[in-house]
Amino acid sequence: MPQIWRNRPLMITIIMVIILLVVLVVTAGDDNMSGTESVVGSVLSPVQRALYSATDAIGDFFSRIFTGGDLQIENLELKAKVAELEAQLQDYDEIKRQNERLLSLLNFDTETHARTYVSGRIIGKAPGHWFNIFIIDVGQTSGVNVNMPVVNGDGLVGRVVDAGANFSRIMAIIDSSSGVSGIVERTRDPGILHGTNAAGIENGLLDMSNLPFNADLAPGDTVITDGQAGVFPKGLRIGEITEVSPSDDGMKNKAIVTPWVDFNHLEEVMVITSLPIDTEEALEE
Amino acid sequence: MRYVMLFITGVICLIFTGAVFPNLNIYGIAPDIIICCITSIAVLDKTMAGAGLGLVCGLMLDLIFTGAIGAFALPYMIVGAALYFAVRPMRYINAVLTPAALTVGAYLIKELISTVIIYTMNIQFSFGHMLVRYILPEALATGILMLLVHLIFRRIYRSSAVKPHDDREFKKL
Repeated sequence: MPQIWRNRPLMITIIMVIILLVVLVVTAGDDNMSGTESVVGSVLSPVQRALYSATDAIGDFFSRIFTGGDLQIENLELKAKVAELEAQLQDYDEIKRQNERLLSLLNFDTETHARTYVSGRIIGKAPGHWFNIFIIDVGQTSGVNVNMPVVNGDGLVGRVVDAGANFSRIMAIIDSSSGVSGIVERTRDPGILHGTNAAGIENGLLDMSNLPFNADLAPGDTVITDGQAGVFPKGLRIGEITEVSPSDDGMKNKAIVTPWVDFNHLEEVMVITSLPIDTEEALEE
Repeated sequence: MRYVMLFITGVICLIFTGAVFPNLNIYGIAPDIIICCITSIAVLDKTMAGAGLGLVCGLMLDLIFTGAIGAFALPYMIVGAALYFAVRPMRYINAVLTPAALTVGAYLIKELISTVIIYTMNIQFSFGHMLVRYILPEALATGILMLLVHLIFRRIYRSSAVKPHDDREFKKL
C-alpha cells in the first residue's frame, strides 16, 4: 500500500475537502434557508443581539474619541444643513398639499401609498471582506419574508435573502453579488447598480453601469430605484453619483455611486413588509 | 475538560467574529480570531484539533451568514490541517515569533482559498486591490492578535486536563 494511503490525517482531510466542495456547489445558489440554518440562527440570535449592542457602544466610544476634533466643524455644518432643510420642508408641505388636492381630483385612493414596515436591529455581520451580509433580529414571525426590501432613514439598505423564525439575513446593496435597477433622479437615465471589489473602487461604493452614452450625468446627482425589477419599489433613495466615466468598451457610461446609507454604522433598519399598489395600476383600476 | 475548552473556544470565536469585530474594526480591517485559535491549538496540541475547530466554526459561520455551506468551513479546515502537518515535525517552536509567523501564513493561505471559492461563485473582484486593501493589513492584524491569544492558550495548556487524553488516539490518526 502506498505511504500516502496510510497517512490517516491526510486522507481524512482530503475526504472532508471533497465532501465540503460538493456541499458548497450544491448550496451556493440555493436561496432557501434549511432547517439546520434556521435552528442555528434562532439559537444564536439572542446572544448575537446582546453582544452586537455591547460592542457597538464600545465602537461608538472609540469612534467619538478619534473624531472629537472635527465635532465643532461638523456642528456648524449640521446647523447650516438644518436651516436648508427647514426651507425645503416648507416647499415640501406646499407640494404635499398640492399633491393631495390633485389626487382627490383624480379620485385616487391615498391609502395605496401606505407601506408597512417592520423595524429590526442589526445583530451580526458576515466576517471578512467578501460578503456584505447582515443579520437582523426580526423574521417570519414578524412578517418578514424573502426578497422584501430593507431601508433605513437614509435610503435603501438591501433585501432579505433568507428569513428564519426570529432572524433574517440581509444582502446589502454594496455586496458584489447584489444588483439594483436604478435611475438618475434628475435626468431619468436608467442603469444597473451593483457592489464591487474592483481596483480603484473602495469597498462600500456602487458601480452603476449600462447608462446611456449620451446621459447628462454630473457628480452630485441622486440615484433612486426605478421599480422595474419587482423587488424594490420605485423612488427609494440609493446614493449620489461621485464619478462619471465611459465604460470599458466606450459604448456606454458608467458611474461610481456613494450610497446614502452608512453601512459601517448601520444599527436599525426597516423591512418593507407590504408595498403600496403601483400608482399606474391603481389609476388604471 | 479538553472538549469543554474546545467548545468554549469555538463559541468565543463565533461571537467575536460575527458580533464583536464587525463593530471594532479600523477602516474595515479586523483580525481573524479563528485563525489565531486554530494556529495556537495546532502549535500547543500538535493534533488535528485545530482543523476540527476550524471546520466547526466555519460551518457555523456558513449556516449563520452565507447559506453556502463550505465558503468559510473549507478554508478554515484546510488551514487547520496544513498547520498540523507543518507543526508536527517541528522540534523547537519559539513561544512568540513562530506562532505569529504561522498565523500570518495561515491567514494568507485561508484568503487565497477564499479567493478561489469567491471566483468560482462568479463574483467580480480585483485580487490586487483586495490583497493590498484588506488581506495584507488583516494578516498583520491577525498576527498581532495572535500574540495575545497564544499567551492565553499557553496558560490554558499548562493544565494537563486540556491536553490530549490518549496520545495513541492521535497517533492512530
